[in-house]
Amino acid sequence: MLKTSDLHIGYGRHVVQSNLNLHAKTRDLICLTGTNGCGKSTLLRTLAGLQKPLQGEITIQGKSVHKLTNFERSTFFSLVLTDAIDTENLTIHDLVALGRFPYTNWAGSLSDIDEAKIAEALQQVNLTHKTHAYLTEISDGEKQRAIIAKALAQDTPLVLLDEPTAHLDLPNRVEIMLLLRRLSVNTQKTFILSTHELDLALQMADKIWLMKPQGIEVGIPEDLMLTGKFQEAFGSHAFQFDENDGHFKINHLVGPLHVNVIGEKPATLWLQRALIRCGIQLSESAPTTIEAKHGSFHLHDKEVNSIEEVLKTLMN
Amino acid sequence: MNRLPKNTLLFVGLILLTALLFLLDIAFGSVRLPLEALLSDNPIYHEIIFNFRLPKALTAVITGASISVAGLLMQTLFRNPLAGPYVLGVSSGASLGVAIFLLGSSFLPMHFIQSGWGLVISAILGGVFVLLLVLGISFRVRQAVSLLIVGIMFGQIAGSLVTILQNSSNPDSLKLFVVWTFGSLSAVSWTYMQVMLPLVAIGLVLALTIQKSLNGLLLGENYAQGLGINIVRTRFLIIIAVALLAGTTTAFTGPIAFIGMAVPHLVRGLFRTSNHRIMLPGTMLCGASLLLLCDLATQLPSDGYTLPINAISALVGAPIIIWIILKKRSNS
Repeated sequence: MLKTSDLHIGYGRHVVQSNLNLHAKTRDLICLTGTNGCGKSTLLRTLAGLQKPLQGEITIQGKSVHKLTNFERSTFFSLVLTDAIDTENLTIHDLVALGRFPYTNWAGSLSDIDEAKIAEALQQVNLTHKTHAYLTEISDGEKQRAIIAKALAQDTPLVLLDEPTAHLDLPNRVEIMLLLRRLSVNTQKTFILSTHELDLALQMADKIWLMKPQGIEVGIPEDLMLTGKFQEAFGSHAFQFDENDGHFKINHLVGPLHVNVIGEKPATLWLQRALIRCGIQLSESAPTTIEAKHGSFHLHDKEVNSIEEVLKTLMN
Repeated sequence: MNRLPKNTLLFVGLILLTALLFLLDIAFGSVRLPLEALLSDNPIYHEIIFNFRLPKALTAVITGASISVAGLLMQTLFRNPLAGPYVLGVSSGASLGVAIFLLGSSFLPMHFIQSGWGLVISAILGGVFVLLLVLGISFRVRQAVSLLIVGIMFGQIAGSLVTILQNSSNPDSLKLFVVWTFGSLSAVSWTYMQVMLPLVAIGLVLALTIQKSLNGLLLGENYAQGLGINIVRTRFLIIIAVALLAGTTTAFTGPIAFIGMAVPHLVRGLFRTSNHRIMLPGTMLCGASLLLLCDLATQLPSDGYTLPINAISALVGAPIIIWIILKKRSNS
């Protein structure tokens, strides 16, 4: 549905990415990810028609995006940006109503169809109860959902989102991603979002566009993990992706101390994490053995009740 | 829309208030008229009411509505609650235009200088010039307070240039200019009204025709573009409208302080909305009422003496600005 061919993006003479040949299908949830400054926002802005490509072409349903009129473009793409919306005295209803902008007459009057679309969009993001609340009165998570509702009301086949989960706490980040996942299944729309949430992107995306300074790797999350592309893109000595569960693990500094941990989970699990965090190595042949039981730890012929006390004892 | 009846009620109230203040403004003045004077055939009463009080009250309505709408347009364009024709130097630019016209062009024939058109054109050009400068700078300086300071500096520069011009001009032109700077609502005769009314009407109609795009701009230019708005054209139309509204009224009445910035905030508070479809007519009515009220206040010291309108409008408008800044602080 959306295709780019030989696309070069950047500002003026500064080329950020070149030779991009990407495509997105209907109902795809695509996560665009990569290190800071590799051109995620530039790509989104170029796709949305907010800036011109340096070279190459973007087509949507066979039409060249940069030959579309303003009106036509607004019926293909809707946007969720990082720009702050801090307008006072704007109700959620009126914000979402702005999504109907391309379809209303010169006076901006809302028809019954427009009102129905607004109500539907609000219901899809679970904000019906806040319809008449003011934008300044709701939480950041609700605000982001309201802006997504505005994009849904715009009734476009493609929704572009620039870091929709930035500035949100963990529950809200997960909720927004789940919402987008649900919407992509239910609404026949394609969602392309840039994000720094690797864990969430790996678990939610149909496809990952992994941006590196030297180009984009495209694939489903699991393939990119398996082939080590993620490690390559975010290559750093400070952390690596765990081969067992795909989450990233920080490479801690390692000290000379060795201990052996035996006992029951989950006590052993958290004890091991604490030891690794403090640079203490784990090995079965170590001179010191710590036995973890439910609620107590046994080491150096002593009983202690918390991991903190275990660490204190070891450090002495 | 269950809020519609409330809005209708507010509009009816504002229309009645404006009408009442309009009648009061005609009835009260430096010369006390008995109430029955409004209906009497006495030629002196007739002269005072039709050739003095009526054009003055009408000017208050037109000017109040115009500078307030200009303020609203600028606040939306700059996305800045402190924008307005006076604070951002547009009025000062208009003054500079008038000064250059009246003081610098001694070679022009006197009757051209005294006709309304020269004044208006120079005021509009001066206003547009400063508006474009401030707009250019607003892309670099996003912070509200910094932009405000830039606007004030432009006002100062314009003021200095005016002073320099005054020093090097002939006495006749200087007198014309000084009279203009004292200019009040009563400076607009029926002849001038024929120039002022059409220009202002074009500005107001222009503002009303772009109200949909103005609503889109509330979300910022990127979102507005995403909604299919042509940003360059909309920005251009806003500047034309502001120049027509603020430039024309300033040309005839002299700069009027702070009303343009304060009224949109009053209307937002009153209607609890940012929708320009309601804001624009609300701002016109509220601006007209407030300036009528200010004009009534200038008549307070009776026996043939009136206060300058600028003093009263600043007295009303400036505290509102302080209130807005304090409110912003407590919100963020």
